[in-house]
Amino acid sequence: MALRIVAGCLIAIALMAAMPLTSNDYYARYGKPDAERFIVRPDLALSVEYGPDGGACKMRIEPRQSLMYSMAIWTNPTAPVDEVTQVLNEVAPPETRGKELGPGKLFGQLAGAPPPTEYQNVTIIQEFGSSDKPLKMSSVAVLFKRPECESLPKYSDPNWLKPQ
Amino acid sequence: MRVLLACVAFLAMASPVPQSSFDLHARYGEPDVQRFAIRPDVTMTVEYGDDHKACIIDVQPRQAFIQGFLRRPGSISKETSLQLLDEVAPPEVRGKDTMPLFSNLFESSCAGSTGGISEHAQESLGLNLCETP
Repeated sequence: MALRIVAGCLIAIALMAAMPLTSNDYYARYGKPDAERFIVRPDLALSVEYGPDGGACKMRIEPRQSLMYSMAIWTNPTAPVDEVTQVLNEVAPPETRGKELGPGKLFGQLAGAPPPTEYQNVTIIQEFGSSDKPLKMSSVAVLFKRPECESLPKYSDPNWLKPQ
Repeated sequence: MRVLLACVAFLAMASPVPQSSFDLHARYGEPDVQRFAIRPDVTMTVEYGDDHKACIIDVQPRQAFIQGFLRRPGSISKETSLQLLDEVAPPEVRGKDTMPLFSNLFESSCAGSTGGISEHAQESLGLNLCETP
């Protein structure tokens, strides 16, 4: 049978404490991770994608969900705005963003959603999980404009919506 | 008061904006999810449990970790995917098969899946039934 395996494709779930592998084991075998997720508040996660230099290129602040849950069911829980703003100010403090350049354009943006805000050093995008009105913010993405991040897809072109 | 303000200003400047893995670890602790490139075009995303051991492993063709909401997955051959399964969760770790992969198949148009159950793990493979290798 001609089968091709697609993304989300292979999930191994350890049910017992039989899988001994830890982060250090994976470092030793595969090198540094190219992306990580941190729990920054009890119910809030910060996902980070690094560039070739090991510095952050993209971040997303969103409600914490198990990887399994987010792969199996496409849900976008509402994010607590105050807490998201606190974390945003921790990882991209206003004084490091550079001069505000105004609104950006986002391909495929929901009607009524605020446009991305362009700064000299970062782009900040409020994301909304569904078009139900009033729109409820599900996450905030921060895209860093360092030269090392040039190889990653830009939000402003259709590639932002496609795999690398 | 001036000394206090100077100290606060120094501490604010001394604690870097966490934009590298090192800084983020220092500020927020160990990550609960990490993604590794296990082949040039294949990544493995691992979610850890409270004991910092792997609980969920997701292997898929490389795509941006943070991207827009429309995802378009690539594909891996069946042979490669089974090799990778044995690499990231070797048979001796998974334990005895109680329901082997491909002993069941769920289909819906071009998409499908098959699931396996072992003594210590469950496996699931997403399938593209239309694309020929």
